[in-house]
Amino acid sequence: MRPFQERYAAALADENVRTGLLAFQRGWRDTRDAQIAELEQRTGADFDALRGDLAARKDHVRAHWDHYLDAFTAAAEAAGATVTRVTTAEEANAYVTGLARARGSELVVKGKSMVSEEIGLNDHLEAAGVTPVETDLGEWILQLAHEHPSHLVMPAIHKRAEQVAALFERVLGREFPADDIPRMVQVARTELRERFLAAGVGLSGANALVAEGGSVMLVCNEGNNRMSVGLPPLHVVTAGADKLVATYADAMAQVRLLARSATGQPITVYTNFVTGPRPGGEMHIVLVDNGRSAMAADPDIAPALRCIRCGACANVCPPYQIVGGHAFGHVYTGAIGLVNTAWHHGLDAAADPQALCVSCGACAAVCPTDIPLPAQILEVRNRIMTQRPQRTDSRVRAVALRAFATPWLFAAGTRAVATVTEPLREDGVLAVPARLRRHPEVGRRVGWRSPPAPARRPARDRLRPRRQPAVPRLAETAVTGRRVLLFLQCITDRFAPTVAESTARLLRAAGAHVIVRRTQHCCGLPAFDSGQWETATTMVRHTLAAMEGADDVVTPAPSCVAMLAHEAPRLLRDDPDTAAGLQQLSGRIHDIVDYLTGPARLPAGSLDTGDRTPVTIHRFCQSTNTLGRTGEMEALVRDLAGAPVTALPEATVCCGFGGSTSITNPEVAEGILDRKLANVDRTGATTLLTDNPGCMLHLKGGAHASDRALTVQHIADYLADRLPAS
Amino acid sequence: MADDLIARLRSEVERASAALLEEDHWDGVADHLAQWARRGSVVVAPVVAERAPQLLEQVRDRGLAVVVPEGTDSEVMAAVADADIGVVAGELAVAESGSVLVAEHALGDRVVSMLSRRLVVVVPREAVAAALEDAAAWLAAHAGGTAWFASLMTGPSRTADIERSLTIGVQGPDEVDVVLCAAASNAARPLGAKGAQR
Repeated sequence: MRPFQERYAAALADENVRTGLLAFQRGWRDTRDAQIAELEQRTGADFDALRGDLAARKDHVRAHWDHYLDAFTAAAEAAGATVTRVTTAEEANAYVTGLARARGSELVVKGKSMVSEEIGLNDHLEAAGVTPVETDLGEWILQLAHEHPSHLVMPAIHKRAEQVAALFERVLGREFPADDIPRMVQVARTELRERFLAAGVGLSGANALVAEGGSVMLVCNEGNNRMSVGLPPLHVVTAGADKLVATYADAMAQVRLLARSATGQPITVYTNFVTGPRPGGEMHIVLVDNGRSAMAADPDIAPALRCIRCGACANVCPPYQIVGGHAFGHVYTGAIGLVNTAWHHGLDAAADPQALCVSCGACAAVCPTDIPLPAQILEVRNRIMTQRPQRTDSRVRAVALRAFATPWLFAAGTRAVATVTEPLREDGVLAVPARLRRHPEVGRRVGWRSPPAPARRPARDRLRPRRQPAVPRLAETAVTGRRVLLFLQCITDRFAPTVAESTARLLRAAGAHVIVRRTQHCCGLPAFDSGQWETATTMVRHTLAAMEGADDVVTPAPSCVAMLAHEAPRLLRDDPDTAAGLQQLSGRIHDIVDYLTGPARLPAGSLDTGDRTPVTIHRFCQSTNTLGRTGEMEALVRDLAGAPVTALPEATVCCGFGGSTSITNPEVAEGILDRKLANVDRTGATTLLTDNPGCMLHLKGGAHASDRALTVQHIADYLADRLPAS
Repeated sequence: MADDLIARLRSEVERASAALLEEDHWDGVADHLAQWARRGSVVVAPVVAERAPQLLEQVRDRGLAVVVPEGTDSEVMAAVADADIGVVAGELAVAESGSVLVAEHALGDRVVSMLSRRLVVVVPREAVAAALEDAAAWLAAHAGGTAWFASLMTGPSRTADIERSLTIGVQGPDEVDVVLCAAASNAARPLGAKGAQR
């Protein structure tokens, strides 16, 4: 496989990748959501219950792996199959190649098998003089083009019809009109049928290995898989033991979610159960470990073995839409590829694409086996930082975060930049002069998004007790009189101080006593996200110390709430006292939207100034995917301010600010921001509200750099602007 | 058979781009085959030939040749290579998904569903089940000790691999008709035994 930087550059250079994948992701989302909704309605169980059930079935097998492996082996062998367990990819390749040669087979037909891709089987077969022919249409196209799949389910999703037509013309020597897809499909049927009938060996993977009867379950839509395994006299299966299920009923539970999650179909056209060889034939099942036992032994990673290879994690992934699977992943693509690559192909192969992930959590929200993918990706990043400290990326991150984690250095740095850049300041962003933006490296980083401008006076200085604005109390609320610690958030403090001031004013309007402590700095999220968990842990402890004694903690940043409530417990595993302190506090840590929706609810209409300008709303991705938020912001705007809200298409998709992607891979963040702002344009609204300061600065910078007539505000600013004058 | 179960099956079969027909007697099935066959012959899976010799007679009565793929591997494949219509036996129809469960252990049985252009699956009318779990129970009841090959088939072969453009009829059949036939019955038999003897 080519080096990551080459794959990344090639993906960016191919416009077909992002346009094709955008259409695919949108289409998939609609059909998948409709299918899941229908299933929920019919079964009376929600998606979480359905996937929880499937996850429990897979976990049960993993907890008794040896038992089910033995049961499967016994049943398959009783039906006449030979089951062989191998540890490495090399052993698997040698076994399969040896079989083909021993039977004198020069032609092998292959159904789709990710394990065969994982172990590089085709190369080994070819080296041994055996010709493997991929029979899945997408895989066949890629084989003709000498490429690898870019998606687990739709291998050639990155190719346009014109490219396929040109490829067929070149390889088959006939003309193919680019708009005649049925003709291209038809020629594949004709070309491949001869191979099915002539091949001595059929190769397949397995969607499930059913221990109950020793069956290999294979699904496909084209019929190629069943022809590959059903016609040749020798059928060879390469599969991981992670595909084991206990019973046929378990297999059906998988079937029920697999196609819905993969292609938005209720079920694939064919669900085949192959048990033993056909009369007069042979069947060999090669169970490849290749890191799976190590995954199973690692409690933080083991749930990744539930994966049923549906590809849903890629289908919702915003960075995947920009660069596709050749860059986003290794052999395995999408979010699962950022995890399992470390075990199947090594930590170095897993390291490069990590920074593409924006940590939006969308993958976990749709995973049909409920794999905690975002947490696992962060686990892998942590291992890269600790086990590969010599990597340039690791060293740069270590230095940058050490500076960031030192409060006085961060303060001095942002003040210095604020002073130097003062002449460029424009509505909270820096207007980078055009001549500078023309420089390729500058343009790459700030040409598409004007960078946030550091404030000369941070929020902590503006919110000293005697400088707090007097705000009339609008009502007695459940928080009236409570000591509420305002956790500023590092970005808000230094780059968007008005948001902190607005949050303080809203809290005071609800009757809270607002406390701002100067000892606070950062919740640790940037360090955690970068895999620097030691630094992150120190910052979490520091943050918790700064919160001591407060009745409640409120922040304008739901990202900090997600960090403290959902991620910090992982960091405090070895520190039960601090973990207990966090647990006591975590139910009382709120972001301002959550607080205003709940205990600090202000009276309906109390912020209604008569302004009926429509607004549209971007919700921070983790507010949806991690915190489970739905329509709270919309309700606040409608109920308190009386303004109409125009629904934003793809409202829950990340804006591109997440993770370190906007710094390490600005092209990806730019592409995601373009998608977001294009959706905003479709609403016709001229005011865009969001709940997270990072998103606000990113979106504001994008609107500024593209000269859009768009006001981007944090919802706290929007609401506080409507408070009555004191 | 509850009519609502069949109504549900019909809806799902049609959603999968296939058709559902109901016939009381074999002659009705044979009429359809005569109407659909374009090349003067119908390929019939060996298991159908064994279970429903009446159907074969009725098809022949309508002037069509009946091909039952049997013999060596190459004879079997040659018999079906250009088949425009094939008939297989469905063990079970699943209303939940519009699928039919077809057991086809012998090569002669499986080539029919794999290689025919138009596939007719005849399912006993009483063998309509509600859910995929019923198919699982059927598989579990028939598994054990012998080799077998069974597939849930849901509509015609399809692909969307080129630009997500849905195209029906890739490697397998491009038309599928599910016929619920009151006269058909699935004589109890071990899944793989028949093929194993062949």
